[in-house]
Amino acid sequence: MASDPAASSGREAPTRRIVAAWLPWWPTERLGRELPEALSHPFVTVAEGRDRLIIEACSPVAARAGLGPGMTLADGRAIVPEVVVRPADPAADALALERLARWAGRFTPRVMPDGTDTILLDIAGCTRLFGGEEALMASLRSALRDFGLTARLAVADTPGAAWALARYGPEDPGVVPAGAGPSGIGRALARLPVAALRLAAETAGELASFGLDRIGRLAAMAPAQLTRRFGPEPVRRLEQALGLAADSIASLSPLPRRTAHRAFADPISTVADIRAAVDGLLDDLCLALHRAGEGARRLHLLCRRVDGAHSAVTVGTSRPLRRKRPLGVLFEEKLEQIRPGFGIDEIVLSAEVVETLSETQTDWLGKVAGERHAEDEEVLADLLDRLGNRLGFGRIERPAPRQSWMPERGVGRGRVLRTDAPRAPGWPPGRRRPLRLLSPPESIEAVTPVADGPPLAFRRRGRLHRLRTAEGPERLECEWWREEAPSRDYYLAEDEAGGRYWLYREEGRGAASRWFLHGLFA
Amino acid sequence: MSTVPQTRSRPQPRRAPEAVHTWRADGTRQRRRTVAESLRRTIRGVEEGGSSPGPHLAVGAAEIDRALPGGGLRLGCVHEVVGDEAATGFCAVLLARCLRGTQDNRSGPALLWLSRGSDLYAPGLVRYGVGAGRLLVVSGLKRDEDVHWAMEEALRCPAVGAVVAETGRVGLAASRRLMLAAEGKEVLGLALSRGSCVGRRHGAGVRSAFSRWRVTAVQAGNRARQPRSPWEVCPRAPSGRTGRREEAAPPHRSADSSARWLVQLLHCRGGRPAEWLARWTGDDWRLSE
Repeated sequence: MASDPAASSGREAPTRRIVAAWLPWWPTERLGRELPEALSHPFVTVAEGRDRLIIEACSPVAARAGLGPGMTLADGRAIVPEVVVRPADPAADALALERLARWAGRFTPRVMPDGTDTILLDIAGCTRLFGGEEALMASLRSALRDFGLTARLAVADTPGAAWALARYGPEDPGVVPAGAGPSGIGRALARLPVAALRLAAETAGELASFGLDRIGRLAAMAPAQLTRRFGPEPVRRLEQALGLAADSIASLSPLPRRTAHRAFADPISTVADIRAAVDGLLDDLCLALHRAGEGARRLHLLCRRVDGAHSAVTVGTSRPLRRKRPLGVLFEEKLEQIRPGFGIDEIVLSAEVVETLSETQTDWLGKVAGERHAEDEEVLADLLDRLGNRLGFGRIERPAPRQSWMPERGVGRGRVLRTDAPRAPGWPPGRRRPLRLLSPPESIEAVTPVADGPPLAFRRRGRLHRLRTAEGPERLECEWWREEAPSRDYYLAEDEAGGRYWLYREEGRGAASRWFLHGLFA
Repeated sequence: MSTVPQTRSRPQPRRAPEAVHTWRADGTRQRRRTVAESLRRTIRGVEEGGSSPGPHLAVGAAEIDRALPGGGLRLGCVHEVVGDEAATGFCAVLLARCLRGTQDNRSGPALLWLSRGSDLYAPGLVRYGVGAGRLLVVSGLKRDEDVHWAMEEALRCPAVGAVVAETGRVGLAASRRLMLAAEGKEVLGLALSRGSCVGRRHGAGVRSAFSRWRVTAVQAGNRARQPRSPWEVCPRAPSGRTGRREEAAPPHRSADSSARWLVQLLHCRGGRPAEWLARWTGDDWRLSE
């Protein structure tokens, strides 16, 4: 187990403990939450096949009556005439599964939906809070049953093994003891069909046709031969299930670095209550950040509601921050977006992205020592945070010079906060550049008396501009390492009304040259 | 062309009313003079918007500054500038005036430009004195509410020296909010009304703006354009006779080094409407009649 971090750190306990919860009747039971009466009848969802309706999923009652996925609806009606039919909605199923996975975040922060009907939970380190592994799984099962969901559970050290046992295991819940290692997992999986390795149906069928229908038989084969005959997939999946190859599960949300949470005996719902709670949470979080010598760059406020749903807001900052007042102002503007519903029973404030923030010397009034502009920078940064959180940080820029002759590439994005901005050389002041640059340049028709001469007049949006003067040309060419673009001859032209324009002629290769309007001068 | 020497005058403390009574021998005359002076100050205060006189920012051209109460654009309130590119250039000149007296790129107030599109081209501002690294641009603000909100937040921020916002029509309530946000600060608020979103004649885009300007480009070589009566502010196309004479000249001589603007002060609290033909030469104004 060369890739196992536990082996390298020398700890005995497994670093991962995965619970797989398979929801065999997920699409119908999900719909059943909205139509409770439907579940007492045979109930199926259908999708349009090639000129007929195909059953996609069926409820337990329908399955007992002999219906199954893949049947045509006509056949199904022949078996069970009173079947209840709903259209299948895979997108809504996936969305609801993600919501369910977020709800399962109450057991562990590391959860993810897998496929169309499974959620995976990494419960390593969380079992203590629920009285052990069995108690946690019993609690998960009963909570799912309260939602009206049937689930098969399994727990193992690898996601592959837990997935296989949940779906194909002989007992429910299936358990592979912690620290069983590849041989222990192999023994537990030996009697399961190869489809339990998350293989495509045709690969599994092909393997079975060679007699390799059980995982134990597959594991006995030499990996090189398997790879040559069936491709890399079966070996990779087998090694993942046994814990010999890396198989990561990505959590739905990034793991928070610092959190503070508050649970309420009575649900709260008014903005004033939420504000007071956030105020207290910010106190806790800022203290934790202060002790760790860190500042937050992104904060996430998650409000869990009594009905199992949640409402969340995120704020970002332009520099690491752990002072309460500016963070409070950022949340203040977002609190209205929180929908309390029937009430909020828990609020979690977490710093998702943190950066090291060293101590700052302050004087006895608590002001930052040093020149006055340090204080101004702080105030300005607070303003930019407020603007950025409402309008989007991408919209704020500090134009900075960039070395390129092409006008549209001559402006870069400098650091918005200039605390450590280098003194870059500015744009050369001698060159005439417009105040407004059209992007992309506007195609115009220009009249030129000589083929390569300056323009005499041009027509833009149907209006003719007679030019009094045209200063130029200023030839600008693309850098040689970029794709070959035609060179441009720029003219500063003034029309009779006093409008000043930046026109250029693009030398077409072989073809006639074309004229563009690129900018407007004052 | 001389400029007004100090760019920002300090706020004058209001004299205490007890000073009216004195114990001098010619007490009566002294008292009358003081009463007259305080009445004059009150009238000026009413004319300028009912608040105490604050710091001002000199535009830089003596003729223009003389026409403005206090010798310049009043800081701590919102001024409206109507027009297209010439108005953009005028705003850039005023932004650069806010930076006067600061030495390098690191100190001094921040300048904020709230833009509706993303067509503001920073290298073009260098000519008007706004160098690289001084300006923060917020672009792509499509909605009026966003522009008003961002301008209000920026005006409230003590680290910001000037805000240019490309506003459209601003209602009375919203413009009052902007004025209140700026009040008492040393910040220059400029509402730039571009294009045709503003009424042709009086251009009331921001309802309670302290002053309202219109800046339009006029033909550089046209000397026939004379400022007419201050009340006749609608600009007219240059006369055809002059235009023909210019056209007869060879058309491809080099353009004049700087554009000529017709700067119109349409409205100013405590001031009179006026207009000037002005040219920005790159570091100073040049006014011509």
